[in-house]
Amino acid sequence: MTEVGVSALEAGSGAVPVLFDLNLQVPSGLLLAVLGTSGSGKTTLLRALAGFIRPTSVSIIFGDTVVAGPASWVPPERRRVGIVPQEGALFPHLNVFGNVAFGLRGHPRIEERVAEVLELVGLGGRAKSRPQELSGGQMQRVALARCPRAPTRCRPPRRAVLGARRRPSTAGSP
Amino acid sequence: MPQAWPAATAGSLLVGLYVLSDFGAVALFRVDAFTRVIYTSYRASFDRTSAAVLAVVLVLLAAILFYAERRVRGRTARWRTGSGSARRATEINLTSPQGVMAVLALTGLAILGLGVPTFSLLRRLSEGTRRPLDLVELATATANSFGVSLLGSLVAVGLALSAGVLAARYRTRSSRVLESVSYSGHALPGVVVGLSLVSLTLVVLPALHQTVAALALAYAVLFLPKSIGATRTSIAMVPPVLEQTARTLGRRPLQAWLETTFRLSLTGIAAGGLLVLLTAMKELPATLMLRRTGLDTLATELWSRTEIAAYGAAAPYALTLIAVAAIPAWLLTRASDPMIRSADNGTDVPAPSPLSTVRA
Repeated sequence: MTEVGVSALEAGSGAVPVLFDLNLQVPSGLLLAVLGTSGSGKTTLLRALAGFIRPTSVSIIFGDTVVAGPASWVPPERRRVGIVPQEGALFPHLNVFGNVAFGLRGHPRIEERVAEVLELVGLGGRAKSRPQELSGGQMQRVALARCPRAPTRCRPPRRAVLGARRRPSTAGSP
Repeated sequence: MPQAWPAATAGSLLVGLYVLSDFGAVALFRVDAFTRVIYTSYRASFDRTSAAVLAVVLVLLAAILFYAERRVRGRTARWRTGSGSARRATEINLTSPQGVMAVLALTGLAILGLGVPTFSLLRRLSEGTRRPLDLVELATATANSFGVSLLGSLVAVGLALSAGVLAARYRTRSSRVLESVSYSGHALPGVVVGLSLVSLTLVVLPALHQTVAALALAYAVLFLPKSIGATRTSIAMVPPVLEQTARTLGRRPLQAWLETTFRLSLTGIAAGGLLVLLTAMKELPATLMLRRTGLDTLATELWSRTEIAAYGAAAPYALTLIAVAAIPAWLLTRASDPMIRSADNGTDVPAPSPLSTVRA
């Protein structure tokens, strides 16, 4: 894990910035939850971290790399930031395997690695499923498995975190 | 009824626009409509001025209709009630007299539109002709029609792609202006585009005069709106978050676009191209004006035979045109019918098993 530092973030579209003078220091290994009313800029912060938007004035530091600063800019494809959008945003034309393998281009053991992360999120047998056949919670789990730097060694995500959005039809054991 | 009224008005204005710019039918019936007069005055003299003056008047008339249609249709959009989940329309059981009337009216329309031309063409064919049908000539014309139209549709798709991406993803004032301008092909009669490209190539690029390239360009200008419409809607249906996700997974901008947005809108883009191909094969006036001497397409062969009242000899060309145009039309209905599509995909998809999901 990498330490994340944000200082004096100012971002948003148009004349009025959504975020203004935001400072943030997240030490390695810390889980941070950002709360706020709707429209307060939570998503804008995440989008700035992922590199989808270019902040108007900021420095964002991952570890010892300045990914967004007055003189430097690292594009999203080189930041290796994982994003799990609320709706999962799986690629609808690829099956679960294809979705997870999407970020593993050039990996020496793609098949093995995909099986590994799918097992980790509890979707071991669903590699051939299409996203349309999954429930909302399952889609999010695939999205999690798809992230770059998806963890290799950790406990499966607890139900309380990921099962909350699951459809009633698939929740609960028989 | 108030809901349907603007759409119906817009529809009839659109019909007016098409009638105004139609060339083939008025030429066949020898009616001195604008388009035919423009063409004959262009053919009669080397002076293109009189034809150009008439063309300008025609464009003005078309522009008025086009503008009116947009105004009326613009009002329709305001009456839409949100984007909530669609409920299935209630089916109305037609009691027998109503049902018979409805079926009769609809089949009558279909017979009038499809049956009558085909039947009369077949009859013409069976009556025989003074001039025997040259199969090689027919095949050459078919190949030419297809080739030139394919080229035109490729140009149109290429142009529509950039305009469609702009219109779907970047709604700024200038992109909207660009989109409206590209829709002007809708309002421009083929005669006018043909005439203007003749003048343009003669003045600016004489090397292009009467080449396949100029003809393909004319098709692209004329039918760009069809292609842009299809491209824009299919791109707008792909959520931008997919492209962004692809970026976070290590794809460079173009690569991410190709693997998500482009890949997912490919069917729609291809459908737009197919639509251009279909329409371009039927195009007559611009083809007549811009084609290389000796390049005969199905439409021009058909036309030149009717010019000398050899209707029997024209029939096989008309039938081939219908047959060739029917293939893309059939492909289009297949591509746009979700029922068929899901049935095609459904075969190789394993049934989801709910048991495998609840282990976490």
